[in-house]
Amino acid sequence: MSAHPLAGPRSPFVSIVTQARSFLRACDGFFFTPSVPYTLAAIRVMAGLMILYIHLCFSFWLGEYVGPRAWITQPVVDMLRVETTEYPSLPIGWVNDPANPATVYKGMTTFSIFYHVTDMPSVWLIHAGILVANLMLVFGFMTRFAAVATWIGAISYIQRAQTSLFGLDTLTSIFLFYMCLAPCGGVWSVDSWLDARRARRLGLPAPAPVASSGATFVQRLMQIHFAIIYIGAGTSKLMGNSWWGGTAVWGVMANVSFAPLEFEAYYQGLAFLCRHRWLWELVMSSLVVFTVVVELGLPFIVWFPRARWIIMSGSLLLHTGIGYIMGLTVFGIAMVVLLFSFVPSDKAKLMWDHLTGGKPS
Amino acid sequence: MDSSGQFVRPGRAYTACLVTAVAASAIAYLLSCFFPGEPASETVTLGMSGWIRLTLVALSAILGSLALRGCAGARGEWPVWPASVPALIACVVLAGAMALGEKSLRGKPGDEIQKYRTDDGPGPVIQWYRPGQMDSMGLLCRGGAVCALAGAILFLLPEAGRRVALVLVAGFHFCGILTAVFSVPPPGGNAPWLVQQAWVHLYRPYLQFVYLNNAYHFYSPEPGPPSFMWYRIDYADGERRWLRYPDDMRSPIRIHFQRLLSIGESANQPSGREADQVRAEEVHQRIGQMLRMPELPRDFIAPVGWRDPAPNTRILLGSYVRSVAERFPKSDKSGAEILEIRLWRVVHSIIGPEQFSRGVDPSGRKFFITCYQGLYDKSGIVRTADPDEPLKFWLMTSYDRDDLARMRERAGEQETRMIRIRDLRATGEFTGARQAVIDDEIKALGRLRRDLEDRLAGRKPSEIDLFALQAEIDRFPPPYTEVK
Repeated sequence: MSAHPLAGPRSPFVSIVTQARSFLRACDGFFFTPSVPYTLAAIRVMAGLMILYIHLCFSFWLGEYVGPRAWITQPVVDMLRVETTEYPSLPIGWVNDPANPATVYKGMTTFSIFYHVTDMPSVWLIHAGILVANLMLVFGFMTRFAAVATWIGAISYIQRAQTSLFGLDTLTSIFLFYMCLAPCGGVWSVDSWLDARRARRLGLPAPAPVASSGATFVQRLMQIHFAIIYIGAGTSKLMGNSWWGGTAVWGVMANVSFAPLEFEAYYQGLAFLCRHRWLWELVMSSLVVFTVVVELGLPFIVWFPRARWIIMSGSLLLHTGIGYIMGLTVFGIAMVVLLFSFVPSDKAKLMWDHLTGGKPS
Repeated sequence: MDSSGQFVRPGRAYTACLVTAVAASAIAYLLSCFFPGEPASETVTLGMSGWIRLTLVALSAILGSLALRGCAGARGEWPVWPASVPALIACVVLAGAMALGEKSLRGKPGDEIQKYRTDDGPGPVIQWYRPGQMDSMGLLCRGGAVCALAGAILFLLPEAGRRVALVLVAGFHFCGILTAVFSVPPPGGNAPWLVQQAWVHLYRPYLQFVYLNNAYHFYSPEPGPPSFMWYRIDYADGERRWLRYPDDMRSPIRIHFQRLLSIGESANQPSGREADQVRAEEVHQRIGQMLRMPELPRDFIAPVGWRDPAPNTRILLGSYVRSVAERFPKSDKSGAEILEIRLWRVVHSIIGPEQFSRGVDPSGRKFFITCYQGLYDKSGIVRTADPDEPLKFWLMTSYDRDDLARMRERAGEQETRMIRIRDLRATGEFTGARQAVIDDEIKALGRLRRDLEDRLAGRKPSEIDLFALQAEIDRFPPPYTEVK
């Protein structure tokens, strides 16, 4: 609102207060504008299915990870969580003072039911319980309880099999942490279907999906977390020689353990690139620049609605490439599901309507 | 109850849930006092008392949460004061029940001191007290109690205050995540001071608890080569079993392969120490023994580097060996016991574009760098009576025909130069080294040159593979199962 032309100059204090108020209002709008949890429900279903797959995969080699014959044996896991020490490598003051050494913290604040349950029948029983909770989360039945139970279960595997983890487990813990906080069972769930059925039995109209500020708040938390992941991944790449030199992607594309070198077309494509140095340098440098630009750009660009879809498409492309070239399909899917948190709730509903052929509401 | 601020008396179900939750925790606590049960160990799992206590505390948590859900409203916004009073009471009762649950689950630390040695000899001995029976579940209860108390505070606040509090908590949470991201030091440097202090003194317990302590440094600073773990089990009846982890053949599911790859990577945590002169001399002598060239000249056939694992990594290596031993305890042929187990970390280095353009096989032997991790007994304890002890933690590569040809040329040139030095010394023009040393050097170079010529002429194996020599195999990589 512009000031009245006849009004005198405003004091700087009033101006600062006005600015602060508008900032707080913007913050409030950013975090707490009520929304129907369509996006969160979609993430619940997609992430829930993915985590169910991860947990089902544990079933085939359960004893290797959490049983008495696990890779990390019981005494060693006890030692790790009791004896591991942490202390800062830099002193509190400018120099190390022998009379006042840095505080050393001993032990880890981790939990796992598999630290304590060590016989295979009981391990299987608990594993089955976790799978059931996971299924309940996917279908949205007693959603909050299911989310917490699945989170406890997932962390239990993670902390027991500490050396068998990779990026996927990190994403699992992120998803489930926010699912525990989110009203993700509000729509597209057995819970909402039961509510509607109950209302019908009482002769009442089916309850409409409720917009809540809690849904927006948790969705924002997921978005910020995703942005921080990209900041971590992007800034750390700047420390690497091969990323500066534009050759890092080769280390991924020619890695026999990850890349699909067994496919003739892929192998021949790489060989063709290698025979033409200019082309090789151009492709590798472009891919490095693309990766770094997307990872460092997304945390800043994604908040602007007009540019959001461009940078999200870049991110989608990046994770599709990672999924294919590195064989990290589930990890790639997990990142894309987390990226989905940037889809506004009404757009998620539109997508659903489009997919199911229903009329947009 | 409604969200307009009107106080509504909670129903009977709410009261019953809360009372039962407290009762369940109290019974669990009494059980822990009178029937504490044996501390969990490798052989003793949760006893009857443990299971009952665990079930009661879980029941208490579920009932308390149901009561809270009933009065906080499963759909829509939270109630505001004074309508939030029942929810506030539920939170406080739930926090109390969880605190009681923590006490009933935690148990006393075991009396037994566990010992773990990384060496038979004067190596480090690590000892620790076994933790309480279900201490980590107690920790989970404490986390639940903290959350319930935080919920109670939120129910006390008006809507605006609640929002401010939530944003502040979110700020604290994300500062922690950023701390985890930036607490990893850059190559050859230090992490920021503020980040280090915040991580160690403030955020570590919280982020470890929720497992949000990852730094997200995916494939950086450099996308490194993967590491595998290869085991050779020798049984008392002479049967030998090779195991490679990960192995595509044994991992039909990609996730399993990735997890086993992470185990290999966990063995790649160096202590940061450098190899001393004694160690370098020992490995040189051992390589000479293996090649049957006691006076092997230096810098011809030498390790790529030395990578001494950190103390915790050494303990993990023992754990991996023990795990493998427990899975394959007997020989297939006669059911004989395990005699010893050898372990290698194998790095599959990445082919360069120039080699790729020449059609070199990226899975060829040249790209596998082996690192011997030691000889173990079946319980994962390192044996010091190991002839290959000097090879431990040295990264070894293999030498193919091209390498041998280059080496032969170099040996020839060096031999000629030494002969010239010897001649100069004979005429008194050079006094830099003793005659005997020069003669020995010439002899050693000549022997190496002839050995290499034999190999290149096909009279001996045309490549030098130190791993194959040490592992007593003639094929690389080793077979998946047994070698007679």
